[in-house]
Amino acid sequence: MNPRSDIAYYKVLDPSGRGPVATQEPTCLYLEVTNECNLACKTCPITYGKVEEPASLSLEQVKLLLSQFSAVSRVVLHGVGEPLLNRELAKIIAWLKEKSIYVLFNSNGTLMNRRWGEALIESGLDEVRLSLDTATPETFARVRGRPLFDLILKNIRGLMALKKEKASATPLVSLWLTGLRETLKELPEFIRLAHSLGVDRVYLQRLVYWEGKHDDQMARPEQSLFNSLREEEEEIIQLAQELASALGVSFEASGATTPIASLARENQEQPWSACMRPWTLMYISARGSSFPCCIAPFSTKDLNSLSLGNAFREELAAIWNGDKYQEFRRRLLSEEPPECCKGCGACWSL
Amino acid sequence: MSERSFLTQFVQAGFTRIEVLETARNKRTRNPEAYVVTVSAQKASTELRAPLKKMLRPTLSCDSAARTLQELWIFPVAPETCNLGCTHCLYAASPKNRNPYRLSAPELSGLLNQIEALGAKPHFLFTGGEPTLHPELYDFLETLDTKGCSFQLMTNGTRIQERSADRLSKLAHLRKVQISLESTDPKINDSIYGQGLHDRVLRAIETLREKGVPVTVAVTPMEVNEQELAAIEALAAKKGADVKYISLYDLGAARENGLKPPREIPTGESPIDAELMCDKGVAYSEGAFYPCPVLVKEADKKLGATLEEALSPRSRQKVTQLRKSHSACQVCLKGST
Repeated sequence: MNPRSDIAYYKVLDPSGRGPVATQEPTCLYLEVTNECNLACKTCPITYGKVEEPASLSLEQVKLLLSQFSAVSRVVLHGVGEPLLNRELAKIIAWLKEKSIYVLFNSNGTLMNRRWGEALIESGLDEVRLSLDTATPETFARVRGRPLFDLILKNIRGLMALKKEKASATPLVSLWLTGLRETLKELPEFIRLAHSLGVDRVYLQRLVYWEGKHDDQMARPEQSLFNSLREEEEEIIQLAQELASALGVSFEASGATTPIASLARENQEQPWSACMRPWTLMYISARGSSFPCCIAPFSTKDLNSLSLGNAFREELAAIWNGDKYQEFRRRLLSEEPPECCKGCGACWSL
Repeated sequence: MSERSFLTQFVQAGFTRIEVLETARNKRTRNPEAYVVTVSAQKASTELRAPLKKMLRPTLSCDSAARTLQELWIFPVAPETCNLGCTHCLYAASPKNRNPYRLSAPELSGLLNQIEALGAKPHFLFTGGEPTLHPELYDFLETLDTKGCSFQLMTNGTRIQERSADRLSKLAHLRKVQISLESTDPKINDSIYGQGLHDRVLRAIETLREKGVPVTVAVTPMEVNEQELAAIEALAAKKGADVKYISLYDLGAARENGLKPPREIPTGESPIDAELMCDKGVAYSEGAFYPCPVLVKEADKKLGATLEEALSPRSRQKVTQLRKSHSACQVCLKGST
């Protein structure tokens, strides 16, 4: 199995074999190394109230979690916060790499200075995904809030140069753009920008929106492109695809699918039931809460309804096939999905 | 039974500081899988149970500073130096106070050297007093930003202007600005801060959010505002700000004014999960280190003039003793701070 491919993780099982009990241990862990952030983006729920009390995972805690499953071959070190705010991140990665686990995380890139670059290259990190979101400083400031676009570009250039200097093939670097109506038109420019920075991977990310009534909240249904692509937007994606292939930049969407397919899904009766995550991966927050996936904390403020157990109070195996997880899986396969999954496959990604 | 599930039983039974001292074959039986495991564990009183997290994070010390020194509180001006004289201030800060202390640039760079020597990477919390009264504050913050140090600013917000907000928004390592707000009712706020200040504080929050700076609204639940907390949370959310509850300490102006804590202490987290400030770091004020920002005006609580002294076993012992007796420590132990 290629650990780089998301699809390998989400679709590793025969879907028909899924039931309330997971017959195998998870092969992928999402560990929220911190739930704090130095940005307050208008697309993010933590801007409008924290998800959980601030916390960061320590190396000891990561060891405690990893010691409980033997089949984990991929660890994703992000949740709702900025991973580079965790001071022990490089040590955590180095420890995971000793166990030959594929390690990656998303970052906003604002803190990726030379010191972090050196520490991450040395740690053996496999992949870092930088959420740049826009191709211009102006749009960046509008969507992400702070005027740090140029700083991020400087950091990316520095990281790419450092990789060359150290003759290191890793970490693989990719740039991510969350498809908003506002940002999609910058996609071709975004691909040119990636190319000019020496980054050869670009991903289109779907927007997870939620019901909220905040003055400047940007993650609203009308901003989302999922299932509502207009003709000119499809054209932009086509154009971006052609440009990417001409420049030798790989252009994909999250969940290992094509950019257009990721935004336009055929209607299915129970779109949420296609999800394989509750049978293949566990997501542990910085406070130890076990959530069904990395999207779930964005979908609701009612975390009690989401939590399937606490990893610092219970054994992971007991959570993985505990009553709550079983009930969650049973409902996901039914016509009455858990609240956090209702929009999935219907309003946003799978 | 795996070692892990064996140990989990101790956790579930409320033990902390669990350590396997020895594992040996049980020679009394013929079962080759039978072991005798000697475990050391502590069971604290259920009320003040040490957090599980702490079990996994060793106590502050110089040797483990890289892992354990999570926070460093800095007072750029003396704790009592402020442009406001809030009725609930634990330092009884006021514009009338004339403490000339200002953190100097060489002093800060000395601190940074000490931190680097220990391999520590703490998060810096600039507090006061009103830290923006220091004429070089923004230069200091820019120095930290260039060095890649994470930091935050706690201010009353009254001196935040368009220009200062601009400067702050460019500092990538600024995690947030924390601004106090005690009510959504201008009358209640003004009765605590002073006339007309409610609007100024709200304006500061808006100015910072317009520039994309993450803002946390710090609320001190008291008898006078305890009915207001939900409204403050809603207002903060509307403005794109987070909320943090701060404990009321029976010190300084709060004591003089006889302010009462709320009947119910709202805690976002259970005391079991809460790490106290003195678990996470130390405070630096007027040339010396203290266990936490609450005790910086009590000279006998001083831990020393260097970080090494502040993290020494002797200092840790002192903090442990304090926690048993000091009234302010009891406030922290009971609620989240």
